Amino acid sequence: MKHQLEDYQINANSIPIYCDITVVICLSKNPILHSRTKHIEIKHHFIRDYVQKGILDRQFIDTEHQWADIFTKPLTVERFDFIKKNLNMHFVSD
Amino acid sequence: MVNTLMHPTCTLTKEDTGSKVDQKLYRDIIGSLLYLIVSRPDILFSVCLCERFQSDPRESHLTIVKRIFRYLKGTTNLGLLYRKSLDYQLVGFCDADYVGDMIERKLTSGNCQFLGENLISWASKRQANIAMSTAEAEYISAVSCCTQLL
Repeated sequence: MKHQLEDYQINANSIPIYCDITVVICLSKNPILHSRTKHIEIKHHFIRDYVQKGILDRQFIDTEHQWADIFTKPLTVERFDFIKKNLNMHFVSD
Repeated sequence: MVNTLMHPTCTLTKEDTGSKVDQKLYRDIIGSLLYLIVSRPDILFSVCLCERFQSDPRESHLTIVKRIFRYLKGTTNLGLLYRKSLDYQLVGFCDADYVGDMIERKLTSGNCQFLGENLISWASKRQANIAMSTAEAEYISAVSCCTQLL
Protein backbone atom coordinates (compact mmCIF):
# COMPACT_ATOMS: atom_id res chain seq x y z
CA MET A 1 0.00 0.00 0.00
CA LYS A 2 2.83 2.34 0.85
CA HIS A 3 4.42 1.80 -2.56
CA GLN A 4 1.13 2.31 -4.30
CA LEU A 5 0.60 5.59 -2.49
CA GLU A 6 4.07 6.69 -3.52
CA ASP A 7 2.98 6.26 -7.13
CA TYR A 8 0.34 8.86 -6.44
CA GLN A 9 2.97 11.20 -4.93
CA ILE A 10 1.73 10.60 -1.43
CA ASN A 11 4.66 9.82 0.76
CA ALA A 12 3.78 8.13 3.97
CA ASN A 13 6.41 8.39 6.65
CA SER A 14 6.35 6.50 9.92
CA ILE A 15 3.11 4.60 9.48
CA PRO A 16 1.68 3.85 12.91
CA ILE A 17 0.76 0.26 13.73
CA TYR A 18 -1.38 0.00 16.83
CA CYS A 19 -0.94 -2.94 19.11
CA ASP A 20 -2.37 -3.68 22.54
CA ILE A 21 0.61 -5.44 24.11
CA THR A 22 3.55 -3.30 25.19
CA VAL A 23 6.03 -6.19 25.19
CA VAL A 24 5.63 -6.58 21.46
CA ILE A 25 6.31 -2.91 20.90
CA CYS A 26 9.46 -3.00 23.01
CA LEU A 27 10.54 -6.14 21.20
CA SER A 28 10.29 -4.58 17.78
CA LYS A 29 12.00 -1.35 18.84
CA ASN A 30 14.91 -3.01 20.57
CA PRO A 31 17.32 -4.66 18.14
CA ILE A 32 18.84 -7.01 20.72
CA LEU A 33 18.07 -10.67 20.29
CA HIS A 34 16.87 -11.88 23.66
CA SER A 35 17.28 -15.49 24.63
CA ARG A 36 13.57 -15.62 25.35
CA THR A 37 12.63 -14.63 21.83
CA LYS A 38 14.69 -17.41 20.30
CA HIS A 39 11.67 -19.43 19.35
CA ILE A 40 10.22 -16.68 17.16
CA GLU A 41 11.18 -17.46 13.59
CA ILE A 42 13.74 -15.18 12.02
CA LYS A 43 11.51 -14.31 9.09
CA HIS A 44 9.23 -12.50 11.52
CA HIS A 45 12.02 -10.21 12.65
CA PHE A 46 12.09 -8.14 9.47
CA ILE A 47 9.63 -5.78 11.13
CA ARG A 48 12.50 -4.56 13.31
CA ASP A 49 14.40 -3.29 10.28
CA TYR A 50 11.47 -1.17 9.25
CA VAL A 51 10.97 0.19 12.73
CA GLN A 52 14.69 1.06 12.87
CA LYS A 53 14.51 2.85 9.53
CA GLY A 54 11.55 4.84 10.77
CA ILE A 55 9.17 3.62 8.09
CA LEU A 56 6.92 1.99 10.64
CA ASP A 57 6.04 3.27 14.04
CA ARG A 58 4.77 0.88 16.67
CA GLN A 59 2.34 2.47 19.05
CA PHE A 60 0.34 1.31 22.00
CA ILE A 61 -3.43 1.41 22.02
CA ASP A 62 -5.73 0.22 24.77
CA THR A 63 -7.87 -2.85 24.18
CA GLU A 64 -10.99 -0.69 24.17
CA HIS A 65 -9.92 1.08 20.99
CA GLN A 66 -8.36 -1.88 19.26
CA TRP A 67 -10.57 -2.20 16.18
CA ALA A 68 -8.85 -5.34 14.92
CA ASP A 69 -10.56 -7.21 17.76
CA ILE A 70 -13.49 -7.93 15.50
CA PHE A 71 -11.34 -10.11 13.25
CA THR A 72 -10.00 -12.40 15.94
CA LYS A 73 -12.75 -13.38 18.35
CA PRO A 74 -16.51 -13.50 18.81
CA LEU A 75 -17.66 -10.39 20.66
CA THR A 76 -20.59 -9.19 22.73
CA VAL A 77 -23.35 -7.14 21.10
CA GLU A 78 -22.22 -3.79 22.54
CA ARG A 79 -18.60 -4.27 21.59
CA PHE A 80 -19.51 -5.61 18.16
CA ASP A 81 -21.70 -2.60 17.38
CA PHE A 82 -19.13 -0.20 18.79
CA ILE A 83 -16.35 -1.56 16.59
CA LYS A 84 -18.60 -1.67 13.53
CA LYS A 85 -19.37 1.99 14.01
CA ASN A 86 -15.69 2.81 14.26
CA LEU A 87 -14.85 0.82 11.16
CA ASN A 88 -17.12 3.28 9.37
CA MET A 89 -19.90 0.78 8.85
CA HIS A 90 -23.25 2.53 8.78
CA PHE A 91 -26.80 1.73 7.88
CA VAL A 92 -27.75 3.23 4.58
CA SER A 93 -31.29 4.46 4.43
CA ASP A 94 -32.40 4.20 0.81
CA MET B 1 -32.97 -11.59 13.33
CA VAL B 2 -29.97 -11.61 15.60
CA ASN B 3 -27.60 -8.84 16.64
CA THR B 4 -24.36 -10.73 16.68
CA LEU B 5 -22.92 -13.44 14.52
CA MET B 6 -21.73 -15.72 17.25
CA HIS B 7 -22.15 -16.00 20.95
CA PRO B 8 -18.99 -14.73 22.72
CA THR B 9 -18.44 -18.08 24.42
CA CYS B 10 -19.15 -20.15 21.35
CA THR B 11 -16.39 -22.51 20.30
CA LEU B 12 -16.62 -24.67 17.24
CA THR B 13 -14.92 -28.02 17.33
CA LYS B 14 -14.58 -30.99 15.11
CA GLU B 15 -17.10 -33.50 16.33
CA ASP B 16 -18.07 -37.05 15.55
CA THR B 17 -21.35 -37.32 17.39
CA GLY B 18 -23.64 -34.82 15.66
CA SER B 19 -25.58 -35.83 12.58
CA LYS B 20 -23.90 -35.23 9.26
CA VAL B 21 -24.94 -32.44 6.94
CA ASP B 22 -24.91 -32.52 3.17
CA GLN B 23 -21.38 -31.44 2.35
CA LYS B 24 -22.32 -29.93 -0.99
CA LEU B 25 -24.93 -27.73 0.63
CA TYR B 26 -22.48 -26.57 3.27
CA ARG B 27 -19.85 -25.73 0.66
CA ASP B 28 -22.42 -23.88 -1.44
CA ILE B 29 -23.32 -21.73 1.54
CA ILE B 30 -19.70 -20.98 2.42
CA GLY B 31 -18.95 -20.20 -1.21
CA SER B 32 -21.70 -17.64 -1.39
CA LEU B 33 -20.63 -16.06 1.88
CA LEU B 34 -17.08 -15.70 0.58
CA TYR B 35 -18.38 -13.29 -2.03
CA LEU B 36 -19.83 -11.16 0.70
CA ILE B 37 -16.76 -10.77 2.86
CA VAL B 38 -15.29 -8.49 0.22
CA SER B 39 -17.59 -5.70 1.34
CA ARG B 40 -18.58 -6.78 4.83
CA PRO B 41 -15.71 -6.87 7.34
CA ASP B 42 -18.08 -7.68 10.20
CA ILE B 43 -18.83 -11.22 9.04
CA LEU B 44 -15.26 -12.04 8.05
CA PHE B 45 -14.25 -13.78 11.25
CA SER B 46 -17.32 -16.01 11.49
CA VAL B 47 -17.16 -17.05 7.86
CA CYS B 48 -13.47 -17.90 8.18
CA LEU B 49 -14.22 -19.97 11.24
CA CYS B 50 -17.04 -21.89 9.59
CA GLU B 51 -15.14 -22.65 6.43
CA ARG B 52 -12.63 -24.74 8.37
CA PHE B 53 -15.27 -27.42 8.85
CA GLN B 54 -16.05 -27.88 5.19
CA SER B 55 -14.45 -31.32 5.08
CA ASP B 56 -16.81 -32.78 7.66
CA PRO B 57 -19.74 -30.46 8.39
CA ARG B 58 -22.12 -31.39 11.21
CA GLU B 59 -25.42 -30.08 12.43
CA SER B 60 -23.79 -27.74 14.97
CA HIS B 61 -21.68 -26.07 12.30
CA LEU B 62 -24.69 -25.55 10.06
CA THR B 63 -26.53 -23.89 12.94
CA ILE B 64 -23.77 -21.29 13.21
CA VAL B 65 -23.82 -20.70 9.46
CA LYS B 66 -27.58 -20.23 9.55
CA ARG B 67 -27.11 -17.67 12.28
CA ILE B 68 -24.86 -15.68 9.95
CA PHE B 69 -27.73 -15.57 7.47
CA ARG B 70 -30.15 -14.47 10.15
CA TYR B 71 -27.75 -11.68 11.05
CA LEU B 72 -27.38 -10.68 7.40
CA LYS B 73 -31.13 -10.56 6.95
CA GLY B 74 -31.37 -7.94 9.65
CA THR B 75 -28.47 -5.88 8.37
CA THR B 76 -28.96 -5.85 4.62
CA ASN B 77 -28.36 -2.13 4.31
CA LEU B 78 -25.24 -2.01 6.45
CA GLY B 79 -22.25 -0.88 4.47
CA LEU B 80 -18.86 0.75 4.61
CA LEU B 81 -18.94 4.49 4.41
CA TYR B 82 -16.18 6.34 2.61
CA ARG B 83 -15.91 10.03 3.26
CA LYS B 84 -14.04 12.49 1.13
CA SER B 85 -10.96 13.67 2.95
CA LEU B 86 -7.49 15.04 2.37
CA ASP B 87 -6.03 12.99 5.16
CA TYR B 88 -3.77 10.35 3.61
CA GLN B 89 -2.24 8.94 6.73
CA LEU B 90 -1.97 5.16 6.63
CA VAL B 91 -2.74 3.53 9.94
CA GLY B 92 -2.57 -0.14 10.84
CA PHE B 93 -4.22 -2.06 13.66
CA CYS B 94 -3.21 -5.56 14.62
CA ASP B 95 -4.55 -8.03 17.08
CA ALA B 96 -4.14 -11.73 17.74
CA ASP B 97 -5.91 -14.56 19.45
CA TYR B 98 -3.48 -16.92 21.12
CA VAL B 99 -5.38 -20.19 20.58
CA GLY B 100 -8.33 -19.18 18.48
CA ASP B 101 -8.33 -22.49 16.75
CA MET B 102 -9.14 -25.18 19.28
CA ILE B 103 -8.33 -28.09 16.99
CA GLU B 104 -4.78 -27.39 15.96
CA ARG B 105 -3.99 -24.77 18.59
CA LYS B 106 -2.90 -22.30 15.99
CA LEU B 107 -3.09 -18.58 16.45
CA THR B 108 -5.53 -16.32 14.67
CA SER B 109 -4.32 -12.93 13.58
CA GLY B 110 -6.49 -10.03 12.59
CA ASN B 111 -5.52 -6.71 11.12
CA CYS B 112 -7.05 -3.73 9.43
CA GLN B 113 -5.62 -0.71 7.67
CA PHE B 114 -7.08 2.74 7.44
CA LEU B 115 -6.31 5.50 4.99
CA GLY B 116 -7.19 8.62 6.87
CA GLU B 117 -10.42 7.59 8.50
CA ASN B 118 -11.57 5.19 5.81
CA LEU B 119 -11.13 1.48 6.13
CA ILE B 120 -9.34 0.16 3.08
CA SER B 121 -8.10 -3.29 3.95
CA TRP B 122 -8.83 -5.98 6.49
CA ALA B 123 -7.80 -9.54 7.15
CA SER B 124 -8.37 -12.41 9.51
CA LYS B 125 -6.06 -15.35 9.19
CA ARG B 126 -5.25 -18.52 11.01
CA GLN B 127 -1.49 -18.53 10.96
CA ALA B 128 0.58 -21.63 10.28
CA ASN B 129 2.56 -21.22 13.47
CA ILE B 130 1.74 -22.44 16.92
CA ALA B 131 2.57 -19.55 19.23
CA MET B 132 4.43 -20.19 22.44
CA SER B 133 3.16 -17.04 24.09
CA THR B 134 0.62 -14.27 23.65
CA ALA B 135 3.47 -11.92 22.85
CA GLU B 136 4.60 -14.13 20.00
CA ALA B 137 1.04 -14.32 18.70
CA GLU B 138 0.78 -10.52 18.68
CA TYR B 139 4.22 -10.21 17.15
CA ILE B 140 3.33 -12.47 14.25
CA SER B 141 0.09 -10.61 13.66
CA ALA B 142 1.99 -7.31 13.68
CA VAL B 143 4.29 -8.71 11.02
CA SER B 144 1.40 -9.68 8.76
CA CYS B 145 -0.07 -6.21 9.25
CA CYS B 146 3.30 -4.73 8.33
CA THR B 147 3.61 -6.76 5.12
CA GLN B 148 0.22 -5.48 4.06
CA LEU B 149 1.19 -1.88 4.77
CA LEU B 150 4.43 -1.91 2.79
